[in-house]
Amino acid sequence: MAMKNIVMRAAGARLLQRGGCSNAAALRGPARWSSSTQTGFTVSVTDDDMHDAPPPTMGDGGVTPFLGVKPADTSPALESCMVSPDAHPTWKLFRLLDEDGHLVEGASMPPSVSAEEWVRMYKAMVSQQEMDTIFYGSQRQGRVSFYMTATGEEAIHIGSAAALAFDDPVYAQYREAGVIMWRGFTKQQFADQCFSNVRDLGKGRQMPIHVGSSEHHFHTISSPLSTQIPQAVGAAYALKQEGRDNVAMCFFGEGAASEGDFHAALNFAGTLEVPIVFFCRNNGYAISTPTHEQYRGDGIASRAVGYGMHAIRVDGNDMAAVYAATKAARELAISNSCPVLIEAMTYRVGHHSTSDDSSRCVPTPTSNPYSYSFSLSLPPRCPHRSPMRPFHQPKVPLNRRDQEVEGGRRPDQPVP
Amino acid sequence: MAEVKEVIAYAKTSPEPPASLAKELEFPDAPDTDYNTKTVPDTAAGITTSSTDAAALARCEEHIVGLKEKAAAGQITIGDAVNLAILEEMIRDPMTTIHAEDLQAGSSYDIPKLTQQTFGTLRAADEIIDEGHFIGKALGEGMNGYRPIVELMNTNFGIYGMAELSSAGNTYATTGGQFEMPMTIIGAGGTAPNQALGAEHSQPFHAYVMGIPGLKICTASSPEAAYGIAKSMIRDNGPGILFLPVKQMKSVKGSVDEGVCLPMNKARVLHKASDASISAGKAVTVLTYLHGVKESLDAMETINADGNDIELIELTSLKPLDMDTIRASLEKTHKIIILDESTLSGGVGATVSALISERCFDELDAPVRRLCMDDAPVPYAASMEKAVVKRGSDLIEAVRDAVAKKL
Repeated sequence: MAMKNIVMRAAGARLLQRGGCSNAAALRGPARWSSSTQTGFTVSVTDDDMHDAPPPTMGDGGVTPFLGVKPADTSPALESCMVSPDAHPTWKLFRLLDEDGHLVEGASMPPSVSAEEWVRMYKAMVSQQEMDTIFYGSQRQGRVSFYMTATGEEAIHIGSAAALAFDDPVYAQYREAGVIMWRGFTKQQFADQCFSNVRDLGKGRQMPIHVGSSEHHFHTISSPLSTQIPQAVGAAYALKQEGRDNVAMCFFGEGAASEGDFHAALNFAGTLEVPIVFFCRNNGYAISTPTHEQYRGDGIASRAVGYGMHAIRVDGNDMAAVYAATKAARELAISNSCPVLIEAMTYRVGHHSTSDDSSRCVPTPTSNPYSYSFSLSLPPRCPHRSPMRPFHQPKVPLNRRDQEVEGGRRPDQPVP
Repeated sequence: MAEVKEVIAYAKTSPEPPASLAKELEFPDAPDTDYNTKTVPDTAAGITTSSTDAAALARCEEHIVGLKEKAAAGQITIGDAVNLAILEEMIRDPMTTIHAEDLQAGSSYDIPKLTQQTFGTLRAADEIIDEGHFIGKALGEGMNGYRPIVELMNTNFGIYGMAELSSAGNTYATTGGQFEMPMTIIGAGGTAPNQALGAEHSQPFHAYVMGIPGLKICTASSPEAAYGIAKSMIRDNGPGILFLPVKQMKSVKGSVDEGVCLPMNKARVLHKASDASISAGKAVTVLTYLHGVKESLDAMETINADGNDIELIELTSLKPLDMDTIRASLEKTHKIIILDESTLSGGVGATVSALISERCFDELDAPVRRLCMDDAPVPYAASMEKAVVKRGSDLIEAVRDAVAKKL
């Protein structure tokens, strides 16, 4: 049977022209075995080639002749061929700061961020939480019909948003208000959307918290879960065609990662080789469903292997680490035109939304100096820790050149 | 080689199936099945007691007694009525299972309440978030001897499951009747006036699925209808979907007809127009369903004050549609209005209106009047939602117009 001519053309030949930044070079792993795109050559396999080439050998270091899989030895040992899920790579948790603001051993703060910027990011986290507190109360008072808080996940919002370029298109799920707020979406605009008044950019169409603004490159939140994931891949595909130094940034929760759209999207992103960062907020619960009932694999990061992409697991309560991880993922995605997955581990302190009462099934953290408006008692080994706390009184200089913020500022002290 | 050639020759020359087969095999149970006559094997009761924890079952029975008391007092909600039906059926038939997101917490309206605590996590499973595929999974279960119930919190999320739902409808016929596939989907949907849920929680999924062959589609706006139809649908051996009014799950209260399965192919006449109004030509047939029922009942006073009356028919059976009941009413009133919570294009009202024009043309004094949603995303803002979602006030106007012979 005549074999079709197979021509593999480098997708995105512009990649050769991309300088990439120095960090990216360090992050780039060994050249991927399955793709020619990084070198930009054309491979043509014809009938003649197949007849002339010597047949592949098997066993004894020979390479299996099958397409679409990593080359490996053949083996008659059943036990060694049957691979357990525990044999897959494990992900260390990337963390820079401990709960009290000390650098963990061997860590250093991301060098490109000034002390002023850290302070600005800290203020943004506090502001985000305050906004949630007031709006939540407003819903309970009947002034707004619905609300969703993101309490406990502020470090994810601000840390990741600060590491993006302003014009990186963001596709979010619904618990990422801090991202659009960081970009300058005002509290007034947020309130206008929640109250659905004449100034609402969505023109009265969507329920509260379904914000969106083309000016801020933040796509309007859509109720059905995970529809944003394939859409973000499409956005990344557009970026790739334009050859821009941007990524598409896509947020979703670990529950939404069960939807079919998630799997399709990751597969697309890998095969089409688009510059996208998939950011999973693993906060332990999808309404009342805990993670051990949502999936069996090792978190969401482990799925990246199956779809052929890099992945990092980060402490989502550590804003510095979230920032650093996002920055690195972004640079890798742009320089290699490839998808990268970030899994940020955190805890959903509040309810799923104002329409459920999760106190029946979700342990909630203790009332503490950084009190949440709906807090009860913290169970042992609860993965929550306050994102704000390391920055209240950081024990490390936020920037080597700027000593005056060493010691930080307590929430009750006046802000200059 | 020769054998292969022979079988091909024989297959080619054999006659095609008869044309009549095209319309058969749509449903394993005929639309007019009386589900009260359905039986379970003698072993069922024994299996239930041996596979359920006695204490849990006792607590469940207690809960059922509580629900029945509420029903007897006319105080049971739609969510609770469906919960009652489900618990009764799960006790009666140990092959019945239930799946929902957030099931252990009772989902949104307590429909699966106590199922997991009573029957365990295997028979009453929390679903991972993937509506599309857990409908498909239920099909697989159904094809292999079980009787799955799937609860969609909000039927808008069922849109993910269109592929699997199509598969559900087609399976009995496409497998030549070899695989029965009992599956019941229950979800809260429709669009209430002023529901303030925004576009993506207000889409008429009931309209979208109407064209799927082999799928029985019912609606219920009262605890009585919800309870009776749920029981039937669970016992039915094919796929069915029951829509409940999303904004009335806990507010509308009523009773149930204990132990009785209601037909799945009949509309319900909720209010008969007075003879006087009929002979005076001041009676109008009104077809509606889900939230439209309460809107119509609430509008009754004003309609009567105008000197008019309506024959209110609830379309509890959207597919197959009960044309006989509609025609019987039309023969008295000769005027018909559909209060429809689906869209102008592709909506339920569109289908029903076309059928009425085709089959009851001679009974009509005027074109069918359809009060339906515009082809627009349903707004969240109340001022805008009013313009899109038709309600009682629109019905009152439409009745006036019909009686005054205004088109």
